[in-house]
Amino acid sequence: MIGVLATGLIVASLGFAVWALAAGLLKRVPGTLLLGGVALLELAAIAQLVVAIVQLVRGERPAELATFFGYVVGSILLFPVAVVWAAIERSRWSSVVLGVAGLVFAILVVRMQQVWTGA
Amino acid sequence: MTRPRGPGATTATGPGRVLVAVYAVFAVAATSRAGVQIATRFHEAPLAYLLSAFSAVVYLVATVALAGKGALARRVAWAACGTELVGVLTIGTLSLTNREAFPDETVWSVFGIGYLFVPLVLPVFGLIWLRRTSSR
Repeated sequence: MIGVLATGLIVASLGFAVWALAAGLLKRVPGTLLLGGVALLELAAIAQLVVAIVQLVRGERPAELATFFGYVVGSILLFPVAVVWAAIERSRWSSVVLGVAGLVFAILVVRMQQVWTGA
Repeated sequence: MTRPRGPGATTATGPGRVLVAVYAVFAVAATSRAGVQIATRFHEAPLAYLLSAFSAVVYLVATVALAGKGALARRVAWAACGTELVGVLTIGTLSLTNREAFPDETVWSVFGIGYLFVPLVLPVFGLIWLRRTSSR
């Protein structure tokens, strides 16, 4: 885990969550821009997996290996599942669902850092 | 905006979709947590970890029932959300008054403080939503 990358991700996903929840509050259906935000966060989630694998190959070990990868897999599956659930019934609540996913993503990144460092 | 009401009306519509999504997050989180606890250190706190597993089952049932349709799904959802509320209040209180019985955290410890108290408000929202979408 790279601390700076994780901190940037937490800030980005919280920003995304505020944006999506605001869109829901304004009764907006998720637009292309919001879905672009989802795509970027999804790419970041996959990038984290790559970074973690590189660090493992280099000999670094998280304090709780299995739990760490549980969070990584969860963070990668989170947005695809949220998008499908949001798309089934398109309304302002689709935006709120994506916002909740953004909050959960931030929490997952925090937990990933905690179990990597053993804090 | 009017929504279909009555015992057969679905709960997975409108704000109900957000409710189901949050329940699904807790179902996954509680199941994973209980799984790790029971697999790696069950002997340390068997009661706490069994309750952890119980809460996981309640979240799973509530998620499926709230996402489902029909009178049966609705009845199951009432029971699951009710059990969840009683559970979080009971375990929350016991974890404060009887600390040695709960040496490790569960989802419901101290009313779900480790989960920003979402476990405490979630069943309340669940029950309110069930009431609002039913005919009575």
